[in-house]
Amino acid sequence: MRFFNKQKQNMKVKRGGYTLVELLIALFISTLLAIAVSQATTSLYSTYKNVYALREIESGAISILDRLTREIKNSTSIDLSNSVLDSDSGRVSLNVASSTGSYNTKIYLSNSRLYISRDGIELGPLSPSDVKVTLVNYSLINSNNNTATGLRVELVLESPDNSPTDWSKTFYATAIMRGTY
Amino acid sequence: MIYLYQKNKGSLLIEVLVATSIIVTAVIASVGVFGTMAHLSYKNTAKIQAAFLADEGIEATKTLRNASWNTNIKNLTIGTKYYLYWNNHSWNINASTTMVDNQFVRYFTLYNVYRDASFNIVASTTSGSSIDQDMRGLIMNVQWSDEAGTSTKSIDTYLYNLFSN
Repeated sequence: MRFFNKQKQNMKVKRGGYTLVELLIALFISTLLAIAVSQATTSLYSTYKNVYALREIESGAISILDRLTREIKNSTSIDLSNSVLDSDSGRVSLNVASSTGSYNTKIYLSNSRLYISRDGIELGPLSPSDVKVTLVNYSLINSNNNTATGLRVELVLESPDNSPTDWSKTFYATAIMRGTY
Repeated sequence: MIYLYQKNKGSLLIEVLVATSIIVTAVIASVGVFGTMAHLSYKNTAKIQAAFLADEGIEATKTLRNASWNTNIKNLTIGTKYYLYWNNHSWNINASTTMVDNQFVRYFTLYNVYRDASFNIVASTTSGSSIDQDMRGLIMNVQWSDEAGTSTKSIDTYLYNLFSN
């Protein structure tokens, strides 16, 4: 800024500091930069939260539907008295009879999470803790071939509460009870 | 000399500001790169949904196969697009475009499977091969659109007349 002063004799005075105008301009520019940085940081954070939320939904869908279809394909019959079909908060109870023994698997909704139990003993949740299962609907497939039926599953997963965008994604799966073959 | 001496004392305010601006511009540009990455990752969910739909399509055609091979599968025209829809607790086949959740189009096509005298699957061009009437090749496709265009996920498998029905 000192080049504004063309007279050499003024230099000594100038060296002492900046003028008020210079400081104000500098402050103004610094404020603009600070605002830009803070906005970038905010958008970075919300983008990160969104990416995280979607990733949790995706991994939740994969872990739930992979396990669910595997359990259905494994099963021999459906225990209708302990299942809730065609409901938005459905549950399913599957019987498995194999050469190594018989057991029962239940998959049920509790506090917006899906849990699995075997012979009444809880094995744990199927989905990440911060993904909400807002809908799980099981439908039995009508079949004129009674030996081969299965289930169709509709699953809606919602993002965690702190996600900037309220994501809600629907996934579908169908699996035939291979044990009925 | 005095000028040089002064110059060595430190940076000018304007220099610091220029440097800060350059750094801030670089940081904001890198945030932009992160935004692009996020945009790509938003598209990822559709791929997973499509993969499950394709997988479901295979099982759905198997339920139709289980119900009756002769009624549901054998009569379908080779190479024609067929759409699946869920209605009244069963899977159904539709010849006109059917959407899933207004986002995905799922269709399948069948192709003939040729076998040689030893019942091995061979190319249709192999001499002495014949069509296996109890088997069809099945290609399950799921299509969806976003701003970048249309994406397709396909699974290629076989359907067999397992219950001879």
